[in-house]
Amino acid sequence: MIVDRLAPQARFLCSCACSIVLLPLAAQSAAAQPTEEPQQIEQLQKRVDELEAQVKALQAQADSEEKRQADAAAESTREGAEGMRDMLTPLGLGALQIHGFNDIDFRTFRAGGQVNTFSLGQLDLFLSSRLGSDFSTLGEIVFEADDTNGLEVDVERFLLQYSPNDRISVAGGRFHTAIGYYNTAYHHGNWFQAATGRPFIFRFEDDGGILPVHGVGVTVQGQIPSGAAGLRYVGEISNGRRSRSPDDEPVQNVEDENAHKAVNVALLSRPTGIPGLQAGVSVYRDRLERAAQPTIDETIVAAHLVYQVPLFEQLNEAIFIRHTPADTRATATTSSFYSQISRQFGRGRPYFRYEFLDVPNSELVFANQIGRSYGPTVGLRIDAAPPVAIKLEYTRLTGSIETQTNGFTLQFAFVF
Amino acid sequence: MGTVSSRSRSSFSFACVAAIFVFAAASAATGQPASREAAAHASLVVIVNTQNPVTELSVGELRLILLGETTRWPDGRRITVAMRESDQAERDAMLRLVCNMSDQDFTRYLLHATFRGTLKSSPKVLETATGVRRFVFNVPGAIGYLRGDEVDGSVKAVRLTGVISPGPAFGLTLGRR
Repeated sequence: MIVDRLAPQARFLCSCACSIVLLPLAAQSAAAQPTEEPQQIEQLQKRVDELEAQVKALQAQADSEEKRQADAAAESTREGAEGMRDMLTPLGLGALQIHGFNDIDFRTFRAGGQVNTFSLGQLDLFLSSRLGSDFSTLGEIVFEADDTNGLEVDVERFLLQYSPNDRISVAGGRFHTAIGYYNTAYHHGNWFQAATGRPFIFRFEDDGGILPVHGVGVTVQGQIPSGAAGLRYVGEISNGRRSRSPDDEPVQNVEDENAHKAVNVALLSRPTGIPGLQAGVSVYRDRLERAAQPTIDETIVAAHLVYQVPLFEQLNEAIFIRHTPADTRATATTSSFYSQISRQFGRGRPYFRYEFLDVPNSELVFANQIGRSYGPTVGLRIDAAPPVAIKLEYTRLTGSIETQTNGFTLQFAFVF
Repeated sequence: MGTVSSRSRSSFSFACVAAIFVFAAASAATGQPASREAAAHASLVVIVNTQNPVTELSVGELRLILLGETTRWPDGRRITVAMRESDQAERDAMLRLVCNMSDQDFTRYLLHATFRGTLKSSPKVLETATGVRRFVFNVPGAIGYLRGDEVDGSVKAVRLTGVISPGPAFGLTLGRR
C-alpha cells in the first residue's frame, strides 16, 4: 500500500533497495558462518534503515511536488487555465471589467410649448475589479449633457468593498443610497430598466429630484441568518445632502456642511420559497442646515414590495419624506408612490407605470414643487438584440413636475 | 367643479392601481414553479471538490449559489461556479431547471448584479466536461455540473433535495444522485 502511494522514482529506488538487500542475503544465507551472523545482521539492518530514510525523503519530495502542482492548478483558475475564461471578462482586459451604457432619445411633446428634440442620454462607464479574495472596487463615470447642452463628467459612484463573507460586506466611497428599491436596482444604465427613465420620485438630485439618491460615506450590508425568510440588512452613514443653497452641488463629495451625519437603515426579505419576491423598508435620518434659517430634521421612510422574474415584474414603492423645522416643530410630510408592471412576450415587453407625488403647502425644502403630480406612463420595450433595447413610451403627467408632461419618447438603449 | 375633478382623478388613480394588482396576481399565479416531485433521474449531476464537506444541497441553495447570492461554503471557503459554454445543453438545462432562466436572462442577471455591486465573482466558463471536472478537482471551493456518465472519482457528486423541476429541459433532467 505504501509503495502504491509513492512517486515512480521512489518506487524504482525502493525496488533497487530491496534487490540490493535481498539478493546478497539469499546468496550469503547458504554459505554464511554462524559466527558472522550477528555482524551481518547489524550491517543489513543499518542498510535497511538508510534505505527507508531515503524512501521517506523521496516520498516527502513527491508529496511536496504534488501539492505544488495542485496549488498551481488552483491558482491558474484565476489567471485563465486552458479552455477557461471569466464569464463577464472580455479576453485581454485582465481583472478590470469595463462596461458601457448609453441611450439616444427622441422626444415629441403634445403640449406645454416644448419642441421635439433629439437627446443624448448618459454615457455611463462602469468599472469593476477584484482586488484579491475579499476586496473589490467599482466605479461609475458618467458623461452627460447639462441644460446648456454642454457635456460634463461626473463620478457617480466609486466604492472600495470588503466582503469577507455573506453576513457582512463593508464599502466606503460614493454609493447609491438604499432608500427604497429602485434607486439601487436601476440607476444610470437605462438599458437595464423596462421604461425610458426612472420614476420621478427617484430623479437625480441635479435633475430636480427630491431624494438624496447618492451618499458619500460607509455602507454595510449582508445576510441575516433567517432560513426561508431570506432577511438582509443595509446600514449607511454618509454626509447627507447639501442644503445651504439650492445652487450648491447636492452631493457632499469632499466636505460636509455640518457635523451631523445622515444615517440610513434598511431591512429586506427575499423569501427563498418565492424566487423574485422582495419586501423591504428603510428609514433615513438627516439634519438640514439651511443658510440663515432654522435647521430641519429630515426623515425618509420607504417601503417596497417587488416581484421580479425574467418574464414578469411588478414594482410597488411608497415613500414619505418628513421635514420638521427646529423652531416650529410643524412637520410637513411629502407622500409619493409608484407602481409598475411589465411582462415579456418574446422580444417585446409592454409596461405600465403610475406615479403619484404630493408635496404639501407647508413644505420648506421642496418649495418649488408644491402640489400634486401624478399620471401614467405606458410603453413597449423591444430587445432588438441582447445588448440593444428599443423603447417607445407615452407619458402623461399632471402637476408641478416640470418636464415631459405629455408626449412620446423613443429611446435606443444599449450596453457595450 | 374642482372637487368633482379631484374625485375623478382619484378614481382613475385607484382604478389604475387596482388593475395593476389584478394583473400581477394573475401573472404571479401562472409564473409559480411547479411543485410536484420529479422521478429520480441522473441526467445532470452537481459536483464539488472531494475536499468539500457538503454532501447535499437543496435546489433553492443551488439557485442562490448560481446567482451569486451565496458566495461561501459553510467552512468559509469561497464558492467558484464552473459553467459550460453558452451553447451547451447542460448549461441551458441547469439554468432552466434551477433558476428558471434562459441563458440570456442569466447573462443579463449577472451583468445587473455586477452593476449593483452585489456580484463578487462571475462564473467560470469551461469548454468541455473534462474541463469542468478538472476545474472542480483542482479548486477546493468549486461547484459544477456534469451528465451522470461523465462523473468519476476525482470529484464528489452532491445530492439534491427539495422540489426538483418535474420536466426535462433541453432533453435533460436534474438528478438527485
